Amino acid sequence: MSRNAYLGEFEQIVLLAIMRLGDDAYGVAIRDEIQKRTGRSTAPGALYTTLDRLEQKGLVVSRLGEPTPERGGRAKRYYSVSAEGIEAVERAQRCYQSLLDGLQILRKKHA
Amino acid sequence: MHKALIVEGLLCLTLPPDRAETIAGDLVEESHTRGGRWFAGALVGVSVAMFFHAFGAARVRTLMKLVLGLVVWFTVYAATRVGGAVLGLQPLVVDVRSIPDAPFGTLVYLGGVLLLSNLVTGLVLGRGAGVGGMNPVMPLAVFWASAAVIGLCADILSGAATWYCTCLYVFGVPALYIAPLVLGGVLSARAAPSLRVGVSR
Repeated sequence: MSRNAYLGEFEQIVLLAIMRLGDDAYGVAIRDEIQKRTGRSTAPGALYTTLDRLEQKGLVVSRLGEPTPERGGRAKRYYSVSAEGIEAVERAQRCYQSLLDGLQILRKKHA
Repeated sequence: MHKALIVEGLLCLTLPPDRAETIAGDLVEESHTRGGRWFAGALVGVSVAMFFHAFGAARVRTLMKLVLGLVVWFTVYAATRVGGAVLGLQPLVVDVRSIPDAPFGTLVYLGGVLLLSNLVTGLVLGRGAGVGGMNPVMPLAVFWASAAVIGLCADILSGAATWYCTCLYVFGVPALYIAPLVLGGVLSARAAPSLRVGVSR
């Protein structure tokens, strides 16, 4: 188990966005995916610090791609979720589900 | 290409080189659709966020770098001031209120002392490994910038602001403190052996 397995809301969003993007998960694409799916505009600084933290926790791994001209000759850093990361997301979702179970007020709203 | 080079150079102050390269690429790529104002804001935002991220991860080490920087800076500053006084180039003690009346040579010497002290401090600190990959001069650079902002605000709020102190805070600190410090740090870090490890392409 990783050093700090509890995930914040934004960490979960980032992990899920990386999972959705598959092999094309790099900074710009992750921000776009979060914007598209949640309507939430993410500051680049917030995303990169979160990715750094997730990598330090061992929940994501990264690799460098090839440099491209439209990026000024700079490489992309592609992220993928590790087995520990998937486990951490599943655990967080189970916690949410457990808290939601039996809440009548939410059932009425969704009815 | 130049844009990416400048961004990468700035990000290298707060990030390891391989991280700076990829984030610079991301910002340049997005700037094509979002424009120059977004790009400038994003660059500042990422730099500030990464500095505080590294600081939060290693507070004690960052503060130790700051203390070391202040010790080196004060040593060089005191040595050049005393040396200048012994050689008769400038008085050892200069009253801040008398700065506008000071001879031009004295002002040039004092400015040179500040510039030299910060450059040497940057060269010394830049040799060591940074906190979380940031250049070791960054804690001191942020300290100088904070001191300038606090000093300027305190002067304005107390109603005791003078044109020369305001000039020192607004132009003097960036030009005589931060720029030579960062320049020294960057030059020294480039001369030091590369610490890039764990990078796979």
